[in-house]
Amino acid sequence: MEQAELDERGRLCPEPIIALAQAAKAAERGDRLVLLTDDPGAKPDVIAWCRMTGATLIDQSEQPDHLRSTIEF
Amino acid sequence: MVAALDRAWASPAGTHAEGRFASDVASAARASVAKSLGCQPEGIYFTSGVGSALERAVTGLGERPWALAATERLAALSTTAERHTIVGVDSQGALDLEGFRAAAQPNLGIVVQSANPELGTPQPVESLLAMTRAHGGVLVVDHSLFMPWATPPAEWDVLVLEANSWGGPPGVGVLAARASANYRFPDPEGVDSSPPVALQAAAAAALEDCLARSPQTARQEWGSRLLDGAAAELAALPNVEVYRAPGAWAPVLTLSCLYVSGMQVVQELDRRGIAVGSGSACVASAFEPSHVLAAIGGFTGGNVRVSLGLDEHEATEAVQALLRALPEVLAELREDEWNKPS
Repeated sequence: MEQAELDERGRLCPEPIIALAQAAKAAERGDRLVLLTDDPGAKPDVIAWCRMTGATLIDQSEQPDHLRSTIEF
Repeated sequence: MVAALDRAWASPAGTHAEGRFASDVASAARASVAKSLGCQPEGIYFTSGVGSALERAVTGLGERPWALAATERLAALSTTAERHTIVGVDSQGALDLEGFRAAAQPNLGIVVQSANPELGTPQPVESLLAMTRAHGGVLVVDHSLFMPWATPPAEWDVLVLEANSWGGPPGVGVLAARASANYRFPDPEGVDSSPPVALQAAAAAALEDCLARSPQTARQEWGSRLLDGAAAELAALPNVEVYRAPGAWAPVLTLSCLYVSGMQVVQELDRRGIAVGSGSACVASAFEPSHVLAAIGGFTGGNVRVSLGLDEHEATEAVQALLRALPEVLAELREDEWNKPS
């Protein structure tokens, strides 16, 4: 199981979610990804994207200047 | 109406002939709206829009605790912020009655939109009314989006509407208060919140005309049939999520499209002559995503909000045009977005 980090800070919707989907495509089942974002829509959208695609949102936490989401594919 | 536009330019507070004329026009507008709503003219107030009507509804009902759903308008959420309990909604946009029951206390005020503003899900207004009655509280019903499409609930303490929903002029909100609510319209001296008298007259005439042209039940029937059909077709598109529950009201439908920007979808549809809204952060003036979609656990990016016009033929053509254009727009935009160098 690998845990990569994807830093999408400074990028706006839809770019962080496209990057997440591209990472999912390249990932093996069970791989984890830490996604860093500061787009205002990222919080609800990462939750909804996981629900829609069957990925699992392990954790989502607000950092001082960004949102940190851990996703398992 | 023409006379009102021509002559009702003076302040209705003026004691000269023009002022008295403007005052008569304003009184006639209040009487007309009261007749349309089945309430007393003394309880009718015009404001500069629905936000200002909600703000005045809350402040005019005095100090009290409030409970409202997370999907209410930002004006209602912010005006009650010092003493409110926020209640959740489910994934279909229906509010959580148990959450309201848990928040019940003496003197409780509740603000509720008669249906979810983006999903059209009708809310259990009667149950909320019973709850406020049982606790000596008040119920403010925001029916501003749905007036031409559904009759307002039979009982309320304060009702809030907006004239452009029924084809009236923009910038006119209506607040109707029952005498039993002990409502006091807050209008500090020197701060005139009311729209020009001519616009009040136009709003009242448009409401009469809208209700005379077609009953709300008939409009609701074709509107919801049209949107139900569109929702089924749109839900079949890849990577599109449609937020519409069975029994949802017209005139609203919302959907979100993965891997595209809401702003670009709106612009591409606009280039094809189709005007839609969006709750995506990139389109919102405050750069915040739709709090309504976030509350139901929806996807806020690539969002498209459809709102029907009042003419059945024109609305049907517009929806058909959207159904034809959207697959092509999404395919083009996704091609661009996926191939963009990172």
